[in-house]
Amino acid sequence: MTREEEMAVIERVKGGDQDAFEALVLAHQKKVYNLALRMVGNEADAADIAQEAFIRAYNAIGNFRGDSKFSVWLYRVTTNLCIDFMKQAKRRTAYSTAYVNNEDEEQELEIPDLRFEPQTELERKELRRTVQDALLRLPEDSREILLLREMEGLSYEEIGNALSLSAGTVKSRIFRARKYLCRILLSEGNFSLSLPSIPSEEV
Amino acid sequence: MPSCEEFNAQISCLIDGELTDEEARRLEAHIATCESCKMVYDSFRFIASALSDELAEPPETLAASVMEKIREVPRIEKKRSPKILFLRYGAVAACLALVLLGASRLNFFGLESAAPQSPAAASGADQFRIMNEYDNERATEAVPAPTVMAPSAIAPDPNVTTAGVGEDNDEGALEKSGEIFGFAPENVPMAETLSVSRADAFLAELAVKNAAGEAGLPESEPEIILTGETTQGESFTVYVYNAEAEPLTIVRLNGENILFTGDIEPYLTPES
Repeated sequence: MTREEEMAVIERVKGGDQDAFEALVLAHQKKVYNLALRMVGNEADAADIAQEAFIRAYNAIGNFRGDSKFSVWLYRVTTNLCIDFMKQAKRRTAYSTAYVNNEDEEQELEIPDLRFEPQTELERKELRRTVQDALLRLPEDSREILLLREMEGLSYEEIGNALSLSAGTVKSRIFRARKYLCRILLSEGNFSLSLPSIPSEEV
Repeated sequence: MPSCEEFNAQISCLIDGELTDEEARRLEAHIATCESCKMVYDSFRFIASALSDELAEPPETLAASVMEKIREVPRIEKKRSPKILFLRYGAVAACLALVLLGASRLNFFGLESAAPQSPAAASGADQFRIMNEYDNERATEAVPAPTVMAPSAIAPDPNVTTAGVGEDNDEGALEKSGEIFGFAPENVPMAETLSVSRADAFLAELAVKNAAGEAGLPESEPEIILTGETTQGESFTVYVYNAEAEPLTIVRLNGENILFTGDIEPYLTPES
């Protein structure tokens, strides 16, 4: 669906065509569900949140003016719901002891020499799982901003518009979130086990 | 030459495609010769791939259950806006108008037959102050002295003073509401005043329904403020608040028919 087609669908929904909304759900459900899954860490809650995100988006679609991409607006609805959900469930208390503190963000990042050759697919999978678990220990706002970048591929400017932050702030927060994540992984010894070399076009 | 820490911050940008070509070239040249920056680069890239690769499939029922929920209730636009605020004033204005103009105004809306001399209506009157205003001549012995919520009792929306002015001004309508009701909200988009007389009609309909016990409004709230917003076509959404301006419920009307009464909470979108 091109952006123009999507806007046309949105206009139909605004005009009262309920059925037209289904096309938007189908186009975005995978991203919305996975965003919620990464944010809250389990399938059942992610499914509930994804459903609620679409219902809220539907009810509030009159507020969507097309200034940003619909997906950006929808992701923001989703992450807001996730953050509300986690506050209500007090899920974060389980992780608070392991929380990486904010003060050390100017410290240099130290990553020991841990280049290993690619391992089995299973090992790579496990390492992915480890990164996703570590993500749940980031503060919610760091998690949100990193996921908007990593999962949804939004530019710093788009994220800044969605969260009312400057592009410079987005840039430093994403960097900080990545450093936190590296530290969590290091502190647990995960990265010292193996760091697969990633096929790289840039270098 | 930037320090490695500065390069590290740039690595984050490089992965995100946020560097200029010149910056990217310089950074790539550095990464090629610096072991520690190469590791940071690899680590960040691995995190990126771990978070973005292999998205899980959403539950197969997701889209169907969303659509089912959506079809359960008609869509309403619920974000509190200057328009709603105005109609909140409009609702208060409706109370005053009914006091000032009396039963002849009710007849205008075709509500004569439902005027609250019926027992059902009288029993509902104490939970609905607008009805108190309707029947304060006939039923003062049965209900407390009527009170009209002053507009100041409703929490003001700070946005209203900066609201833009609509293009389709109907200054006549605003003037009229100001003259009749003795006050006029300031700096309200004038286009919205077009719907006020219709809002009055819908609110009066709902008042009658409520007095007859047909509106499904909360019984425990002695003071109810009705506010409304027009939506598409002939239907009209009324927001019901208590005296503390806390949202209670919504009612959607189409002419005389109540289409839907329900919990207001799901329609209160979180402000971003």
